[in-house]
Amino acid sequence: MSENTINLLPRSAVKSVPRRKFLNLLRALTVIAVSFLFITSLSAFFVGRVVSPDAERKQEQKVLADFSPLGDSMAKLLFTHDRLLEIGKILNTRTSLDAKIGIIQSFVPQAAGIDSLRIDKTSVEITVSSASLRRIDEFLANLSGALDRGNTIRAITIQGVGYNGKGEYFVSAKMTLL
Amino acid sequence: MKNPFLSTQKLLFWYFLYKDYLVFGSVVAICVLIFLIFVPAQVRNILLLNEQANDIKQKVKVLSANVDVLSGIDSVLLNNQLTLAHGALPSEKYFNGILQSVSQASSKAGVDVGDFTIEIGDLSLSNTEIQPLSSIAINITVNGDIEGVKRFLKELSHIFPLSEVISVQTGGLGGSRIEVLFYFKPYPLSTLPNTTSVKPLSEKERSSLNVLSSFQNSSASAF
Repeated sequence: MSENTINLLPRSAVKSVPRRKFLNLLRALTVIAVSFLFITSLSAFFVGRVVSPDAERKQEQKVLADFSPLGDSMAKLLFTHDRLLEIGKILNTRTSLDAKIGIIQSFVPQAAGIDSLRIDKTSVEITVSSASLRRIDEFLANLSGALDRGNTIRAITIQGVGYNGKGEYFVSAKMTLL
Repeated sequence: MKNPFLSTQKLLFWYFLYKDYLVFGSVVAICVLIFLIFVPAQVRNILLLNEQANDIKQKVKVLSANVDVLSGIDSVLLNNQLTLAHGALPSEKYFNGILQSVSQASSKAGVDVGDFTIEIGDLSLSNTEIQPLSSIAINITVNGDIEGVKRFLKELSHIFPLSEVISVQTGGLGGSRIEVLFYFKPYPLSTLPNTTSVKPLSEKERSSLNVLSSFQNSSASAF
């Protein structure tokens, strides 16, 4: 405090001025805190009411009531989807071995016969016999041609060519199919 | 030794000296405490309610769409479609249907079926929720020439239940050996939730049904 200032208050009162200021500040703070708490509680209450799912629950009950008689149809439709998904896969992926046998038969000349045939999805083992070596040669040429065209056969292994002692020549071949 | 009376006096002195501070300070402290306890819990609750409301909205949306789709479906047509699909792909090992289809294919192809073996396999269903596509393997002996075998294979591919010929061995004594897989798929074990989104049959599925309709239906029975 400046020396020129004249303070007429008693000494105890001078000391109480900052104390009163602090007390006023504390009072203000109390009012603010209580108001803030009140406003926050009120806001939380109203926000809680706004976001409450009660209205949605009522709507759900209504839709469920509409849906109830259709439950059986839904199950049937889902089962049909499930069946048809697998059926589509089977129809698209299953191999028609009768068609493949037909293709293999087309390589065998008229005057030659199939002695044995083993066929699966990817391979064929065939033994063809004929009284004429020319037909055997023709069969091999047909296989070779099919291999060159590359639309049926991927690989051929000739397992044996011989004479069966009954007047016929034979050839055994193993093929890997495309 | 401390005098408790003096201590109480001291406390009272401090209390009266700072009484105003104590009251207001306590109110502020309690407000802060309530705020810290109350507000996070309330915020969590509001978020939870909001999440629940969104879930229910989503469920209602799916249910409404399902009601629209299902209301537009002809139940008689749906029954026929399911019967057809079920006949093509049964839900269980349908031995009677398999034997009938073999018999029918052989009679149409004009070949005799000799002996055959069926690999029954495990009769219990898988415990998984989504049941996989399964099959029963059958080895059939067909007495006939290679053309007869081809006819038999062709007929078999157009008869229910759907099957796939895995291998054919012909020539030699004892007829031709044919290994066939007959497919089946069990229905799901668990019940389907009504919030599963349903769609009407797609063009691809209708096309599959048309293919199935063209096949001879030897085993479809009322579902």
